[in-house]
Amino acid sequence: MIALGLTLIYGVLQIPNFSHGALYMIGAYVAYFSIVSFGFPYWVGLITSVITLFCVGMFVERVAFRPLYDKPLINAFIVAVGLILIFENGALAIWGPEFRRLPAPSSAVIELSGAIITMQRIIVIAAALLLIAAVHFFVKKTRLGAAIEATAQNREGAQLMGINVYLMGGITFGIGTSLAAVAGVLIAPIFLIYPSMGVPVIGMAFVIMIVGGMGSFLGAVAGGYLIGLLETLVSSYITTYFTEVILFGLLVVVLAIKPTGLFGKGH
Amino acid sequence: MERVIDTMYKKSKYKKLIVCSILLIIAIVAPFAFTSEYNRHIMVMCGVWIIAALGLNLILGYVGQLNLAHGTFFGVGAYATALLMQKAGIPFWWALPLGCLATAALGFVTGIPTLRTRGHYFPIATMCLGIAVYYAIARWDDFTGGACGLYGIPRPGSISLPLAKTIDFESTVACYYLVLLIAVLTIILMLRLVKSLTGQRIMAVRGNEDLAQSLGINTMKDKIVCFTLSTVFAGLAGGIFASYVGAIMPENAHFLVSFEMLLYVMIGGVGTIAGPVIGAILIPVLSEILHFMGSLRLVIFGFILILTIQFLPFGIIGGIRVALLRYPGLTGRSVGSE
Amino acid sequence: MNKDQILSVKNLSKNFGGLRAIDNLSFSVKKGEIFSIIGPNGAGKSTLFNLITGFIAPTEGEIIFEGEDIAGLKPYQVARKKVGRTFQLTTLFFQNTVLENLIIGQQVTREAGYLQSMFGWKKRKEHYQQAIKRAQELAEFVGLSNYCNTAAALLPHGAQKQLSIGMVLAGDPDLILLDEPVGGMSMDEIDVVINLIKNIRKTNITVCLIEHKMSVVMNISDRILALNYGVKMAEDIPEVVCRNEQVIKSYLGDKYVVAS
Repeated sequence: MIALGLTLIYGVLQIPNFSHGALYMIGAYVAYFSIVSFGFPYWVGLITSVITLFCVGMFVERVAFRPLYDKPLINAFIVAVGLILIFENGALAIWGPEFRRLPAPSSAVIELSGAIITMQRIIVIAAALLLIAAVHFFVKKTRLGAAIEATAQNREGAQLMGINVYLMGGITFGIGTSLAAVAGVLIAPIFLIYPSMGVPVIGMAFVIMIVGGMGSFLGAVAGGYLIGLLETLVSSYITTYFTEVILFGLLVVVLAIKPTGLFGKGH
Repeated sequence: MERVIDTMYKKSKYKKLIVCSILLIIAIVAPFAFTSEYNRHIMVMCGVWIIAALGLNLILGYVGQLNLAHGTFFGVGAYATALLMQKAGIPFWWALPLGCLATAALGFVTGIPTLRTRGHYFPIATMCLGIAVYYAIARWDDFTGGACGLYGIPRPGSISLPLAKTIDFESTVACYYLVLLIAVLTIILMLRLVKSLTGQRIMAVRGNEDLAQSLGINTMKDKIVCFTLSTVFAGLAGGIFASYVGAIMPENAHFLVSFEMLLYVMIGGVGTIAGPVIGAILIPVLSEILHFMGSLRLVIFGFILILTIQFLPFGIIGGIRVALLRYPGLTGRSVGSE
Repeated sequence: MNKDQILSVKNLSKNFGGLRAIDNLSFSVKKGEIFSIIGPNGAGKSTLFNLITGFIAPTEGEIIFEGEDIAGLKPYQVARKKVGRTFQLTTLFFQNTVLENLIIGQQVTREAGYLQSMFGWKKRKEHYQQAIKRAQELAEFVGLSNYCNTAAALLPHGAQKQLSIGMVLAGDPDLILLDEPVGGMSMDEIDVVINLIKNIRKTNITVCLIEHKMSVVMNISDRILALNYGVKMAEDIPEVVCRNEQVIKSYLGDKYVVAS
């Protein structure tokens, strides 16, 4: 799901947004505080978080990335690094390093052909599928989605057609970050909330993008499942200790063999 | 015309030489001005960061490739040197070059696949590499001490000078001079490299790879050599760090270290020699001054980093150059000659 | 192979997916001549240059330069065989000065090693000064000696083209491929470049060029190759090529053939 947001942003804006993991963390915190401190129900917290992050995303795009569209790509990378520093340490300074746990909306446990699954996990999986479908529908079927896709394919062309490419950029970024927020909020009851929770996730998200090929939605989804499968296989059959080492090492190998990503289109 | 340029060039060279010698003298007498152990410790660390930042600057500033595993190579150098000293019992003066060699070997082996990538994939590939190496260090308990790290790494052994004197490196001041010496040597090497035909060639690779190739430049070879060379300096800094501090942890190989080095290079001035040096002094010092703010200071640095890229793409040094260009009266000569 | 041929292309083809950009093309360039390649847009002229200089690998066929098959070599390897080229869109190191550009161009002939650059002393200095001297000579040759310390980005368009030719010459090539050397220039600028090309020929360098301006092509070429959709239409001296029916047809359309 995070990868989906990343892919969206990357595909349209060509911004490799490293700070995505940090935004995911912020999303989880926003939800946490609206649920725990203000006593909102879980779903309202989720929506609050999505809306907040949408605004944050648009703001970040406007202030940090937009001035860099015609500059070398490295700059966008470095800006993303700056954003990570700001968000992570900001969260650390404001909310402290403690781990927080978000109460799950439903603590029901379901037994499914012998395997025990908590309700929350099912919600996560269902939500992931739903979001994938929704994003796909949005991009392919709505007017706004068409405008975004046009922007992705040809900036100047889209501009000539009267599309406000800057606004599209902002909206895309906003949607991308709100997807991250959804992921953060959904995962929070399973894992814990802490300032650097985005770090391992961002690595994984990039893995998925690389495997899936940047900017391709289906690739991101397929990549996500492939990596999940691989992770389980490695940790159950080879070693639990060096799972990450093998995974990320494999990735470098993938890139070496196919420098534009596994399913990526050649540039 | 030619002569005019020549004398202009010599004049500016002369001025620069004076400025550099003054700075060097300041660096040499600095420990006498700051006598507290704490201040001296920061000075040593600045030296270590200068070496590492110059390494990053070579690949980022001159070849134009953002390596997000530079901090990892720093850690690899630190671990290699420490392990050689602790497990193999090799003295520092051999362990350090061997540690650099080990780092270079890893840099070379990983540089070949990662540098094949194009566009945005290089930073991502190096980031993945960094994460993989970080976990390898953090999880390999028997060899690297795992998450606890390594402790009790000895300081550099004392060396005897011909005049029956020996220098030992138990004091911070002695370490400072050692680091200063190595940092100055690094600066000189970098300057010579950049201002040579090779340097011109490297910058050609950054400028336009296709054009460079059409001129007979083996761009891949230059990228790999520079990448390897940059990791040598990362390893060198790491090795000194390990021996000086005496303890290292997996966090020293984390990509956050890369981010910090990136901060030094970008804010100081990427693609210049003076920039990373200034950045590697200014930021750690500032960071210590702002220590009371806790993690908020990194937030500030994040903002500074973003603002720098938006408004001063070549950092402090770039800003100074633009200022001089706009107000040539400040120095009495026009800037533009390197 | 004929001894006075410097470059000979045999049965060269290149497919991009289903599209055949170059189709079974054969021709040869003689030593010391000015050889022009003409053809309408999309005829495969630039693709041909990219094939010869190794930027694209051919699907099949041979490219023989000085008796050696260079097909499939990497661009820098081709350049080291002393084949220089310019690009259609003027490509320079825009941030560098004219002199620096001309120094970088000399990499083929004097590749400096890392060790020498970092630790060398006398030789390093010698090499650098030789490079500067050669760069100044080149600047004079291409008519840019007044611009030596100007950044390439600030040069007028014509001067940029001249500089790109100078950079190619810096590598001491035996054959140079110029992709539209007078594209988008004013008449005065064109004259400068034509003279330059003629001067280059005098130094025993074979010139191969792509050009759209017929007046230029007819004026300076010894021989012309006309392409259309990757197929050879004609390869001969200008007088013959410009009367070739197929060539006229592809340029002007069917109805002009009868009239001519």
